[in-house]
Amino acid sequence: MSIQQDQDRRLQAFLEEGPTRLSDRTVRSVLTEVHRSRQQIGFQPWRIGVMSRLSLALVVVVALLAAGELGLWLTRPGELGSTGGPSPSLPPSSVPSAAISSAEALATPMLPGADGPLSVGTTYLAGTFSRPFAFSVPHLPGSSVGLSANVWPDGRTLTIGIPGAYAITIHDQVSLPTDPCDSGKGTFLMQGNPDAVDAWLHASSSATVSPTVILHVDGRIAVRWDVAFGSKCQAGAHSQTTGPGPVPAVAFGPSERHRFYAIPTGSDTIVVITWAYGTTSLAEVNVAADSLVQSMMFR
Amino acid sequence: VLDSLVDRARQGDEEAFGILVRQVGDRCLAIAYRILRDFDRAEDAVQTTLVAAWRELPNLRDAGRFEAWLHRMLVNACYAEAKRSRRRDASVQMLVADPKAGDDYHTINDRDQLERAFARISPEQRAVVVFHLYLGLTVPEVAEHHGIPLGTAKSRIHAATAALRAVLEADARVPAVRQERPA
Repeated sequence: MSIQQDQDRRLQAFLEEGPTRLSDRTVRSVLTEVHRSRQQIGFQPWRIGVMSRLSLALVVVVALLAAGELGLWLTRPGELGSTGGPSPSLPPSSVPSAAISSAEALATPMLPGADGPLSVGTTYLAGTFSRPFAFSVPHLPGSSVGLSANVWPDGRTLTIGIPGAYAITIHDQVSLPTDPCDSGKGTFLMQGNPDAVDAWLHASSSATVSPTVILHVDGRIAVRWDVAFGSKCQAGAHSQTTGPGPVPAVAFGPSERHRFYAIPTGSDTIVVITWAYGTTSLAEVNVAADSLVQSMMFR
Repeated sequence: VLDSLVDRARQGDEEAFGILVRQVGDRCLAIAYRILRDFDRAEDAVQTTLVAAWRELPNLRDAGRFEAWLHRMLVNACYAEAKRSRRRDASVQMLVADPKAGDDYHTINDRDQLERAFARISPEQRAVVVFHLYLGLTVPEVAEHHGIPLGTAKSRIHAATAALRAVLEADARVPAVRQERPA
C-alpha cells in the first residue's frame, strides 16, 4: 500500500469516529423554537426573472382580480362608514375545538371529591396542582360506568380510570423510585424539565425505552415515551390507586408496560403515566391518554 | 417521502418538520461534529441551522434540493461557530482518548496526529474534506452542497488533502529524527 493510500485510509477511519446522533434535548429545543417562530415568506423580485411564463401569468391575473375586488368593495354604499360602529359578531363555529379555550378553562368545574364520578367529554379543573390545569375527559376503553377521579391527599397526584381495569395517573413533584427496576436504590422527588424524566427512564437498569415523541400541549413541547420493564423489575409497594402510602408513591412491577408523558409547566414538569390491568388494552388507554394530555390547558 | 415532508413543512406543518428534524438531524450532527471537532458546538450549529431552515423553508423552490440547501446552511453555521470559538478561546484542546475503544498506544498516537492535522487546516478545508471523504460526495456534489463554484471545490479539496498529508508526513518523520540525534 502506498503512503498516500495509507494516509487516506487513516483519514477515513478517523472521520468515521465520533457521534452520529443528535440529542433529544437539541431536538426539543429546535421544535420549541420552531413552535415560537414564524416562517418567512419573502417577496423575492429577483426570482420573477426565472419564473415560468404560466406562473407569471397566474400572478398577474390574481393581482388584477384582487385589485378589481378592492375597487368594488370601495364603491359599495355603506361600507366605508361602518368602521365606527359595532363590529358584526362572527357566526359560531360548527367545528368543536380539540383544545379547551382559555375562557373555558377559567369557567370549568373543579374535580369531584375522592372517587367522584367523571363524565366523558366534560372539562374539569385540577386546582390542587402547583400549576392548576383544565382537561377534558376522553372516551376511555370499555364502559364509562365507574369512571372516577381520585385526588391523593397531597393534592399533587390525580388518578383517572376504573379501579382494577385501567388508570391514567397525573403527577406533580411525585416521589419515584430512583431506578424503577431496583427498589434498593431509594427514591427521589421528580422535578425539573422533561430532560429529567428522560434521564430517569434511560438510567433504569432493565427498562426498554422507545424514542421520544413530541406533542404540543397548550403551546408547550411535551414528550412521550413507551416503556417496557424487564421481568425482574420491582420497585416500591405495588399499588396504583390507594394514594401515596409507602414511599415511593409510584411503584412498578415486573414486565409492566406504560406510556410516560412529561409536560413542562414552566417551573416544573407534570408526569402522566398510563396503566392497564387484566384484559384492558394498554393501546386503548394510551390513545385516551394522548387525547387527555393534548387537551390540558394551564391557568 | 422526504420530498413530501419538505412540502408539508414548507406550508407550515410543524409536525412534518418535526419528523424531518428526526430524519436529517443525526446526519447534520455527524457533519457538524467532524467540521468543528466539538460536540457542544456541533449541536449549537445544528440547532441554529434547523431553526433557520424552518424559517426559510417557504423560500425553497425545489423540495428535491432540500438536503443540499440544508447542508449549505449547516456549513455556514459551522463557519460562524468556528469563528465564535476562535474568538472565545485560543482553541487549546486537550486530546481525550476514548476509554471504550481499548486503543493501544499506536492508535491513540495516530488519532492524536490526525486531530492535530485537522486542527491546522481551515474550517472551509475541513468542510470539503468531510463532505468528500466522510459523506463520499463527488466534487461537483461538494460544490453544490457548499454553494461554491466547481473550481473552488476542487482547489479546496486538493489544498486540504495536501495540507493534511504534509502534517501527517511531518509527524511521521519526528521519531526518526530523534533517533538519529547523538546522545
